[in-house]
Amino acid sequence: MNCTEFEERIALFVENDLSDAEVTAVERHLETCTDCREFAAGLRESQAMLKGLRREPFDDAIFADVRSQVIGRVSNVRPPMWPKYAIAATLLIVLAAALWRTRPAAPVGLPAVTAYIGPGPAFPTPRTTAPRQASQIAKMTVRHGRAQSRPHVNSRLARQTIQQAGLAHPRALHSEPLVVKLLTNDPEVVIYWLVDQNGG
Amino acid sequence: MLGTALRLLGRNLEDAKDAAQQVFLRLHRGLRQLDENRQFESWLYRVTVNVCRDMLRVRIRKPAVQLEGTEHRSYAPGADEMMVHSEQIQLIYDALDTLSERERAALVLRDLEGIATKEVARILGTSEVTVRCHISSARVKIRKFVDRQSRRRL
Repeated sequence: MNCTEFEERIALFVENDLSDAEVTAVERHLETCTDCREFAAGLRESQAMLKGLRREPFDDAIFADVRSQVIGRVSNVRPPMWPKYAIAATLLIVLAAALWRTRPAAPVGLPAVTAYIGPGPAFPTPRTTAPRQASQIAKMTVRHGRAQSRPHVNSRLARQTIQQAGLAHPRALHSEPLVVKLLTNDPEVVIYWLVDQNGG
Repeated sequence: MLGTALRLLGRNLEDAKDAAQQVFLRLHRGLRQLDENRQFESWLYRVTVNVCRDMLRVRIRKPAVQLEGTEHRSYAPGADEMMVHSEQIQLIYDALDTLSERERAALVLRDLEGIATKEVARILGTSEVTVRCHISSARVKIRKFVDRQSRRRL
């Protein structure tokens, strides 16, 4: 190994950054090489000058300046608010949708009879008004009604269902109003008939 | 941190102050994500080195406009600036400017901050062998620069 190759080892040697084996090799070389000994002395000198930077003091005003600038910028940097509003709005929409879908299908507290109303050409009249036998309708409720898709109502079948349920005769009826739930060919359209006891 | 930034950036106090601000702001933003098991000091040094490196790269792309009658790199010491402004210190800052970015970072962390070589390697994201190479070549370059300048003055 020549002197040029030793230079970088000496640079580590002067700051005790070498292993024991490497230190021994450098020390042996320095014993015999005057140029490298001078180089090592110069390195110690320049390293001492370099470390003089550690003692370079800072005025308190510099730290105060940095501190005030950082505090000023930190107080100006606030997280954007819109994500919070967006999350809150989404939760409200989801909650409203869930409540809408889970609301009760029939009026609470009233006995219900379900009549099937089938689709098809046999019952072409899209009337939702009551047949004669149900002329005593007190109220008709259409759930999720759509103006353009009026349901086909099989009034005869509804009548039969009422009779089969033993409710056709007015005397058989209780004093409470009877609720007739009519299913249509549109799953979203359900018709409730409330029939009083005198109407048959 | 301010001192580290100053030594990494060259003797430009305003740049060093900007760097220190950026480091604190990154610290403020990343404090929640900071892993408690990792050494905070190492993290702080790594951020400081990265901020200064970014600033140096911007400075290379967009050299600062030299105002008439002012020096770009150095600053005039005053009541609100550094107290010591000796020729020797200026000479060392000039010598540091001759180093590569990696050599300078390794030397500043090892010799001026007194961090062990292994830790310097971790901070800089490189191997211990590479750090030793950078440190030794940096010391040699500084030694030769100081020697040349001293001979020129004689």
